[in-house]
Amino acid sequence: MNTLLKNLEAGINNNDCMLMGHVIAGFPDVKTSIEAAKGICSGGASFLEVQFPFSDPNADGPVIENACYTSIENGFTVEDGFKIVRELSSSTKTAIIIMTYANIVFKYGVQSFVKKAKECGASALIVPDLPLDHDEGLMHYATENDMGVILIATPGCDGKRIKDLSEKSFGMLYTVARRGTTGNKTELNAETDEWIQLVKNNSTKPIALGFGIQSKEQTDKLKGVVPIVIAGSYFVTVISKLKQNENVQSELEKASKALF
Amino acid sequence: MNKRSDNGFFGEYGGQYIAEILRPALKELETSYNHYRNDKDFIEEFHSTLKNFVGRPTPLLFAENVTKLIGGADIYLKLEGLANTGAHKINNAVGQALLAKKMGKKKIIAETGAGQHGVATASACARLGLECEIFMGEIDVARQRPNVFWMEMFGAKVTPVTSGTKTLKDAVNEALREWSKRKDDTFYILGSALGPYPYPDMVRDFQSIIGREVRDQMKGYFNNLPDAMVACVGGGSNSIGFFTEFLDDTSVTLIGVEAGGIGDNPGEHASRITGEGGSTGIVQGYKSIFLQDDNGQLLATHSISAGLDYAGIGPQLAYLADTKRITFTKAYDNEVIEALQLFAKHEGIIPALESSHALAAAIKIAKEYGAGKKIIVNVSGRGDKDIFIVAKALGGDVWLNFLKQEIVRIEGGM
Repeated sequence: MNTLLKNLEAGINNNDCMLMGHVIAGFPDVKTSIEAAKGICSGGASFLEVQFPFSDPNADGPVIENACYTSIENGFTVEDGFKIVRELSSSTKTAIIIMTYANIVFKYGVQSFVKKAKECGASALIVPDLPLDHDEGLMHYATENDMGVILIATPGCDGKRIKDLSEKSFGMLYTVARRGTTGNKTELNAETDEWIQLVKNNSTKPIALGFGIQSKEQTDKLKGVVPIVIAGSYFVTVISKLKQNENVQSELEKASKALF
Repeated sequence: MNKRSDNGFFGEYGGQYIAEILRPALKELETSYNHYRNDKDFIEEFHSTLKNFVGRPTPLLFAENVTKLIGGADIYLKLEGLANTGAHKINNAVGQALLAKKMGKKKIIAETGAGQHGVATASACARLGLECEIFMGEIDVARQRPNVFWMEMFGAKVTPVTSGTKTLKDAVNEALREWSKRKDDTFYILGSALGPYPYPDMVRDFQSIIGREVRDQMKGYFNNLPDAMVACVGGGSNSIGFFTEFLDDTSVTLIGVEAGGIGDNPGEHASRITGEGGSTGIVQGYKSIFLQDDNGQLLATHSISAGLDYAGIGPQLAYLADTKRITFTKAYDNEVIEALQLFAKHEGIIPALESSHALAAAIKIAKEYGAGKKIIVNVSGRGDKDIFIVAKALGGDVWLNFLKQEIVRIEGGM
């Protein structure tokens, strides 16, 4: 069974509040990004996005963009990304999700990219600029390979669109809590509340909420509201602030546990 | 030939490869634009603004002196630089700003590289009473201070972009980010014939006035069609606006001129079609030809003209390159400066560095075609804005001394 679906089922059955972590492949270098990812996994993440950096990540905010830039400057290749995914999927129980942008997949060849992702043990893919009606066959190839594409719902989607996205999304519906790019802290206010409610009312799948999570205080508020919380820029910030000689894995494990 | 996209695509190029957050805004734009482009009142308002505010029609000039000097084909110049704010960019800025008003938008955002689209947009917003924010790479802000100065004079807020390479492509990314952050009151005026559908169609439509005027004005000089038409190609808004009217006239050779920069190695040029490193990709919402490496990362570009310094090309131009309707060539930085000097000295015009690429190519083409043939060149902008770059490129102490003395004068409060 696909690791993502397995972890999701277990978490839902236990009524857990599950965590989806995030690393930038090759940031600050390949070795450190693997250790950091392992720390997030051992710290309790059920899912982990491994972002293959792209030179023009226009759905991301400054924290992730700068990390992508550093990784590329340090010579990141798509093959490095697959190497990282292979290492993580074989050594952890966390479901590994490859997140990247259209051009990285397209340049590699959509079918070849999906096949390689599967071969390296990835459970799913997230590619924000390959939307439903312009996906270059991504969903087709993913399904063919016992994987899936996680789709993203954002404020501005109506009920029908949410339903449509959730039906086609793999396992869960990635839901962005507010407008704009990744990384900014979100407040739980009437507006976000209304949006989350609209998604809950229309989604046919569990919701993974991207919220600019930075603290336990925030995750506490989301317990019982959504089954999965996503922390992206939080982890990338921790990684970017690591000091020399620090044990990368245990620092990230701590950061992961600190959210619950 | 079908001049519009088919479901957003020109052959395999174009499309709407966008994150979900921008989908409602683009759908709204698509619906509104397809309504207003056929709306009689809107078209009338657009044309009256072009006439009274932009100063259209811009002249078509027979470059008699250069033609004689070269001894080849007759060279005609469409002087887009005589439009308000100094380039063709204003045609599209006015069109989109009018559309924004019709749609009830209050705030305008736009990207700019060299600053021409930024200046045009800020000017249109000042005229139409719209709030305006321009995103511009930090490096471009530093090297194009005069344009920043004018944008601010028009009341626009200029926001430096500090991410990535800090140039045009990063300004586009930042404008897209801002658009996804803002609520429904914001309109994004994209300056080039690229980006997600419907921008390539919309920008081409607003710029097509250039070619339509040429068809009318050339009757004052000759009766048949020109043999060739030449335009520089960055993103492609001036060239597609110049060529569209003539796409069906297959006897007219259409020639696009890319930035050859300082050499043919990666990072030294911005030649997507004629250079090394161009291949099909999906970036910034559209599929086209991009300068990129084997991993799909965009390559750095170089051109003496900031307006051509971009890794992608409009999807319709990529399609017209594939189908061979448009022939592509390039001009190197040094040829560009020579062409600028030649036309300044003998025709009394100051072409922009971008447009000087088209002139550099036209000099060669005129020789090749020979006497009796006719070539029309789109001089997309004027070069006043380039004085710092051109003066530096031509060297000499006079300009440097002037700048030094100017600092003394400013600091001395004289």
